[in-house]
Amino acid sequence: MSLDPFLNRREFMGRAARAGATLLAAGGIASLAYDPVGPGPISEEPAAAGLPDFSLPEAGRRMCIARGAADRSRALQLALQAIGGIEAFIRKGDRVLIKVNAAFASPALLSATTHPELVSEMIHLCLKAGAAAVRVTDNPINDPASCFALTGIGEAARRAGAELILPEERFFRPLTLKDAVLIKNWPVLLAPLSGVTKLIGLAPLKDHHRSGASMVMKNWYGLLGGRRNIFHQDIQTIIAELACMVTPTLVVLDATTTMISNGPTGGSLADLKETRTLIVGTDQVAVDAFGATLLGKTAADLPFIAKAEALGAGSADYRALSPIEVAA
Amino acid sequence: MPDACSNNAHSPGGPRSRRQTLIGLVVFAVLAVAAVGIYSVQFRFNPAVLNYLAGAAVVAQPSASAEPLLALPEGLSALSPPERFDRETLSDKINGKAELYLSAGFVRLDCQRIALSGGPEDWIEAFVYDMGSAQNAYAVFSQQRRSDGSPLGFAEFAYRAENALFLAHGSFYLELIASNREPKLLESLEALARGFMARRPAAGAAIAERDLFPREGLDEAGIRLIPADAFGVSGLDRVFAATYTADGGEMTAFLSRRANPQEAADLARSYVEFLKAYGGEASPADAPVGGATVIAILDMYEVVFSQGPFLAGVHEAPDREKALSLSGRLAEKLKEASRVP
Repeated sequence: MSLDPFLNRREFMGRAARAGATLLAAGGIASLAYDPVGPGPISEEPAAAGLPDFSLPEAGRRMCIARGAADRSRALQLALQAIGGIEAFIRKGDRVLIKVNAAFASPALLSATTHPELVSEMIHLCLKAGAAAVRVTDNPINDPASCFALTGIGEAARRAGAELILPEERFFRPLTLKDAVLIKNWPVLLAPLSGVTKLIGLAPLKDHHRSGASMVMKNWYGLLGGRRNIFHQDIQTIIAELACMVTPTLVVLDATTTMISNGPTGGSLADLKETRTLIVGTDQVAVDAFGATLLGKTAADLPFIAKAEALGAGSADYRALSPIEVAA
Repeated sequence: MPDACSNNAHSPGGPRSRRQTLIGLVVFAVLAVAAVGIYSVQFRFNPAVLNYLAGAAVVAQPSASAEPLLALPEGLSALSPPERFDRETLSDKINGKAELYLSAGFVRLDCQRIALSGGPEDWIEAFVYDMGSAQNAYAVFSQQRRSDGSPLGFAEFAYRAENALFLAHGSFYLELIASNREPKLLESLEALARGFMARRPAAGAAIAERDLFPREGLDEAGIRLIPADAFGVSGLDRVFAATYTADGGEMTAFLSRRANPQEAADLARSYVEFLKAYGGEASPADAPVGGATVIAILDMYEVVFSQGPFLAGVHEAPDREKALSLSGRLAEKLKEASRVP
């Protein structure tokens, strides 16, 4: 690089000073605009890394299909007996959380939510097996108080001796699921799980306009907070990730009366079909795979089943569990 | 005296000046690209960040009106205040079913619970969907039509199910859902619907496409308007579909009025390509419909053609002859309609 013969020292100093001032000004403006922290999480607490594993390795992968079920209580008792009895899952002193589907403020008649009779019976069985406490919760789509009141779940839970936990903002904490695409720093209803030793999911079988079906894995959607409806854009993935996030002790799929069309809200009794089946199992993917058949579908028709299996949440081949069939 | 080279370097149009200008332009171009990049990336938030920013602030709004949503007949009273949901909040009320309404042009939902006086356990939930147009209201009405529905005499698009009443009236779609089978409660469903219609007079919604389906074998109550992604095909929108029963088998005839004949022909071609991409075997069929394509796929038959501004055809027919016969009758009706100015 050669020196410019027309540039004298004064001119050089002037240009250098102007260039320096420009750099300083740009740097100053950038440092004022720079946010070294970025948007923070919802609370100051660090994101939880996941939920505890509530499964019982010694219970293995068990599944029972109770056919001809008209009386939910009886069907639940028989199905549980067939896979070792409630005592195989609930021990003396356990603190149990029952996650119901109370998504809508609609009457039990419409089968859009977990039936209160099933909630009541499960609480009785847990307490009979020696559970120290039973909690019931959900974060419904509609107003929680209305949902628990109008579905009958709130009253059923209280009468059976459970503690009903309605969601409040302070009960949510951000959670990041390892390797997840969607569940990252997302608010999850964690407070009701505090001190809990066993987790049971109770879900009705329903058609679902967006995902194809709402069963036990979709039921965990009610643990999410925030503007969770944005997950509807990728509902198959969020259901699979939820199944990965939650490892329950036991799941129950109530297909005594199934919403076979216009789900998940339904509205007419014509949307319902008496399928008279109740499924109890420890593998939520397998239970959903069987549930699909009651909607006239196969597991292959519902992509979230294969996705959940790929993530290691369970097996879509429910026959491999040699499900026990009982007449209810 | 400076040499020729030095003179060139400092003349306004000299090589060094041009090089400096070029370098300056390149720097500006890089800065512009960086600015565009930053501008576009700043809108791609992680869902968790969106959630953080939005918080739980978006909630259902109380209805703007303090009046009850429906005129309440004697013996009924409001159990809850009216609520209002818009496109942003609809899923807070109906969750996964929101997409059905949003794809059909949904504008607003007003809802309220109404109870029998003195019987708070006997209640009706009223859902009033403003769909923006009569055709949109018909779309959501027809797609959810229940099999056990009994038509109601006081409105063209209305039926009673065992525990509920469903009605499309003007640009509104109304659902009245009872909490149980209490006879007094069920009796009040019709009174509420009539009151709703009286309060919002609307001209009878003529859904002209309904009359374009041939009558023989038609299940008239089953004519439905699919607003988007008909038969799983992206871009196949505003499709009327009707179920036909022939010799114990079922098939579906469909039609969609497009902006002009060229658009209809283009859409027919792209639908045929879609079916071929999924393993369909196409063959031309000039009779009874000129220019139609028959596609054999998954042990069933599809017929696709265009007639004037209409895309039309037959979907999931059990055999080729039946599919072509119904296509011929449909094409005749569409030919007549295309002639009408």
